Amino acid sequence: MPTLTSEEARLALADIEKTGKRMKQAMAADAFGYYLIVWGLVWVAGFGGTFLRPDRAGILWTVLVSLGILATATLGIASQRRPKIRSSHHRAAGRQITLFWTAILVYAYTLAWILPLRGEMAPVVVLVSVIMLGYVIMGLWARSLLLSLIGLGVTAATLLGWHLLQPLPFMLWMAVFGGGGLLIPGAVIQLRWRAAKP
Amino acid sequence: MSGFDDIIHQPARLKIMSSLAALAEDEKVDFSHLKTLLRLSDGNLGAHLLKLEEAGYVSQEKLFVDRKPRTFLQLTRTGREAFQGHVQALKAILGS
Repeated sequence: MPTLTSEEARLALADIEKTGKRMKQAMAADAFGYYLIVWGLVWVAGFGGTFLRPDRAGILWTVLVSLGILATATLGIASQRRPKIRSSHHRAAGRQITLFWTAILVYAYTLAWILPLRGEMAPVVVLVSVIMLGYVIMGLWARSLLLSLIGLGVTAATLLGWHLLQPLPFMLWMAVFGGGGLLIPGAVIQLRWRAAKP
Repeated sequence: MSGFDDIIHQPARLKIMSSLAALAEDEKVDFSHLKTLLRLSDGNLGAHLLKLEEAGYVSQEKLFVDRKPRTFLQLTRTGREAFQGHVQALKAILGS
């Protein structure tokens, strides 16, 4: 056993924990930080735009969701072509994630379309809630507490806003708590690992 | 468990081992990404990796991605065990 003081051992252990944490933060930033930012921006612009111009909501959402899908696909392809972390299961996981989100969106739109719903904003609540269920499941699967908390938090905020507000202010509420609920954690993930000193 | 390890305990190598130990067993990190993460120079990281590779703690895989050479790094089983042993030894010092 070397002549190491307990203070030196404590510092070394703290360094080990800090460095390991930084690696995990970098992996999290790489895995879903940018996707949260992209979809946070889509929701902020979509709900905010619907609040300002409800008559143009259809075209606005069509354009924004198309841009979001395009940005997501571009990020996914870039990440596959220049991976920072390689593993035998990453490529297969990428395909599974794409299929998972496709299924979630199909279910979300189907439920919003076929269910007898209370009020004109109910389809929005169903869509957001099913998509957020996707975040909760994804968080459990990827062992990311943050993703699951985002899913639960945005669902809770959506239900609360729906009960408290009229349709138009609810759109503004969703821009802040729905879009912001994705955008802010995404930005924090990106900034945190860049700012942390090794 | 091999206990306290002088090769691992050097500060830069401790950071390299800690970073690689945070990955799953089948995951490998890109050399450039690790360099950015640890804020080390190419030469510095390369020299420490050589030492760890000689000890059998780290393995490298060289690939061509988009016609550019890239190096991916991971802990070997021996490396992971040595690192865990080192952490236990540090905890034992704290506990004593």
